[in-house]
Amino acid sequence: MKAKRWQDRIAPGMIYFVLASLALIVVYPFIHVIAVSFSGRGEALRSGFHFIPRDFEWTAYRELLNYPFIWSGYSNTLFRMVVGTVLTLLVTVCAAYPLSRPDFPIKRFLILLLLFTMIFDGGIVPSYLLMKELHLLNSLWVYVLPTAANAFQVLVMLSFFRSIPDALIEAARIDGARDIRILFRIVLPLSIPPLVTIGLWSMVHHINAFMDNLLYVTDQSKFVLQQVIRQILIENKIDPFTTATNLVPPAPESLKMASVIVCTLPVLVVYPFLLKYFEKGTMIGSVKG
Amino acid sequence: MKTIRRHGELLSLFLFAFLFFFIFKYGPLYGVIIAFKDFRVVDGIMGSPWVGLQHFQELFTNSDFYRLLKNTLLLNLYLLLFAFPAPIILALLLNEVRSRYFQRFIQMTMYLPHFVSWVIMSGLIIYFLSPTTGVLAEIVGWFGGDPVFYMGKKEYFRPIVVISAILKDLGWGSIIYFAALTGINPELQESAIIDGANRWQRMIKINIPSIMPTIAIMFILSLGGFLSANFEQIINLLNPVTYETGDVIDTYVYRVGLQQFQYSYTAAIGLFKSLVGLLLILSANLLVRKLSRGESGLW
Repeated sequence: MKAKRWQDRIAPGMIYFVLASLALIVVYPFIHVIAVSFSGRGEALRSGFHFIPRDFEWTAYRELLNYPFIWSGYSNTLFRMVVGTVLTLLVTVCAAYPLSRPDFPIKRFLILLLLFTMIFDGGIVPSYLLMKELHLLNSLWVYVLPTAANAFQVLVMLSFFRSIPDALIEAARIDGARDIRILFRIVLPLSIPPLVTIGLWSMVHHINAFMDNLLYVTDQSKFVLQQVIRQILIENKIDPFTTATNLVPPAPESLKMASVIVCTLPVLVVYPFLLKYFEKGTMIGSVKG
Repeated sequence: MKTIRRHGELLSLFLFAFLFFFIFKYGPLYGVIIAFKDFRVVDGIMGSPWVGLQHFQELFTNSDFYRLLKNTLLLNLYLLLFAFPAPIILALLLNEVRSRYFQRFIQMTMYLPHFVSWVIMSGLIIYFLSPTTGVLAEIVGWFGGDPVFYMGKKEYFRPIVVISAILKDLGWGSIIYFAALTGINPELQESAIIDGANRWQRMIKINIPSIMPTIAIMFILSLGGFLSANFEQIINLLNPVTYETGDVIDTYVYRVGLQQFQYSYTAAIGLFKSLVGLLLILSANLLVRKLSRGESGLW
């Protein structure tokens, strides 16, 4: 009896401790980044922990916001977010709806064709050559066209469409409605939750994506925000900011941390909204395809 | 003809969507043939001469290839060993927490890194591990250790990749397991308590077996990206000093293929990787189906 008491008190304590430490590891970097990004030169170069900005300064932000490629990056990212998400939803619905109809021909074979794209890919070089042949290199369309074809999302949509009662669709058909009309008038209004989920998946993908930029785009005015920030943060290309006309350039550390904020701000702003829909969405995704 | 008339609208919808899959997913398969050719840009894919398996022979005699294969396999194996179970453990721990507020708070913070790109995540890792301005050097200093340039030591590369991969998707990955845990019939737990089972025994005997089907599905899905996973992460963390332990097939193909224009040779490596990946996921699915007697598995 005594042993049980001991265990009942220690185990929950340890669980709370582990979880709280994990949360701390995730939260602290954000505090540090904000503090350093607003700190003066000497403070930003100091090693160790940073909790609040000292010698408050925002030259780092001023320099960044005067950098033209930040703005072209924002607008290219916005383009791929909006156009990419709309296109993804369109392609996903157009693939999933016919496959969800019980009398659609060779359904099983077509689903297999989709499944195959999930487990086998041609590789980096063949994809690069394909984009080259299609004249998509150094074009903004290379960001949005290839990602529109996503088999996993089609399967998620498909399993939702299948859960819509057949009687509804049959009734509409007897009334003389044709397939596309049924899709837009009856099926899609019922499918808002999976549409929102897939739309948000796609948006987050487009905000954070940079691989397609790295592989297919070399024209800097067509870089997405992530790639512009990547040059500053990872490749250390900070001379545009230090050799400019200003006499007191910001510390490289402040500049990098400010770039982190500039880059994550869009996600942080929509984060509460994301949380609300995303958790439910993952559960929709768990339905077996 | 009758089917076409009857399903005309559906067919045109599907054809529109399938065009994207055909071009962007099946299209690269046509380019794969350059692995068997001596590809020259001026001749194009069709015009370049066939060389048979020459690139593959070159591959298997090249010591670079074995280093890449070893790095790729080891890194993915470590990720499977440590990063795959981590969200399961987090979900089991969260399930033991009584306070709804604390549970919610932990979940909300742990989801955050999932939404931050690998560019930012890697940039922060490099910054926090730096020997001059880094926080880790400071903590090591408290215990009397000397600052180390972690990103420039080849023996630290794999642990850094695994730990950062865990941190990024720990919370997010736990959602699905947590939901499976909340779906367990509470009567099971109550009768186990009456029988005198403690927390630990209930976790082993009830919670883990109940989420086993979910674990199996997630396991196969995670093998789907096996060998190509974490390219975005590795390419940002890698530097020439850590090539020996960190250079994987994809980063090599990118560097040597696209930047040094050795298209055919790297296409052969890529094809090899894709085939191994395909074999792995097919056998994993078979294994899971055998173990669960046909009840689990993706297809």
